[in-house]
Amino acid sequence: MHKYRLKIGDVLAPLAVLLLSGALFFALTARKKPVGSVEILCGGERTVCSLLTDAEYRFEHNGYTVVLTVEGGEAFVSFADCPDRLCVRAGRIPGDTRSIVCVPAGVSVRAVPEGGDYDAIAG
Amino acid sequence: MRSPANRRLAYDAVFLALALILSYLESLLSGFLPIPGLKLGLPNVAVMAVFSLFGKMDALIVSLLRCFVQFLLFGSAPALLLSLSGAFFSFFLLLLTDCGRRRGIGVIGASVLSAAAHITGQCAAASLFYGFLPVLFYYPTMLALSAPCGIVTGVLLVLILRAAERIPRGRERTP
Repeated sequence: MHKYRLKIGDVLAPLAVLLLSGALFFALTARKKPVGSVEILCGGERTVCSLLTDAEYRFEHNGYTVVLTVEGGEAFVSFADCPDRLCVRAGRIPGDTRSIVCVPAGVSVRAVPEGGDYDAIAG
Repeated sequence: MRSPANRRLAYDAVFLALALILSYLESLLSGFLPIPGLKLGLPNVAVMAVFSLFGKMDALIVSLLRCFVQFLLFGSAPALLLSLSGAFFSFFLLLLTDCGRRRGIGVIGASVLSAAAHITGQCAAASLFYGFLPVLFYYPTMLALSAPCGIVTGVLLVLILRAAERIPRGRERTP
């Protein structure tokens, strides 16, 4: 039977991918500011919701409904009728994640830091 | 089935069916994985197997057909774009590495790079729909996870290639 021989690239490729992702993760989180609000993009419309006030926002797009709940300074998708419901499992902003994307509904939610956007990204 | 071209076509169809079954299996498994949206990239095993056994054109056709048939069976329009973008990026890396036949890189390395390219392509397509920043925060996590997923699919590919050693290829003459 044919025996597979490990080549140097088989070891270097995963290491390179992990290093690149680590560097990107560090670049994005190193200068993390406290989150003050979340920005929701739905069908080209932009909505900004403060995390200071508890509220519930309903978005309907592409035939699906997504409900974003702001509670105790955190935002999360409490309901979605999309097929996979990955957005509901994505966790809370900013505790678990910095963004939530619902692909079927075409809705994205991202954290906006207090006093403006990320320096690293805004340049 | 006696003609080499027909035989090759039949094998391509078998691998396309395998890719679709693996896609479905993957969608079932993704509910049990701890990270939302994480997929192992199992259909890519079938595409890489076709690349190794029958060449790049067959792999490209199987990869594209897999995206379209998957869209017809269970997908949505944004999912098709994400799927196609991932498939093209992943295929480009397979071309560069010749699916692990280049000197210095084997199928496991090629599989890891292909998985990383796949997620890069999907994030690039997703950023067109959902904005750059929301996707950017997902990207490092998904990129890091593409390394172990690529190793898993690479090992599966080695097993498939071992099993496929007895497959008569399309280029061979048959009596």
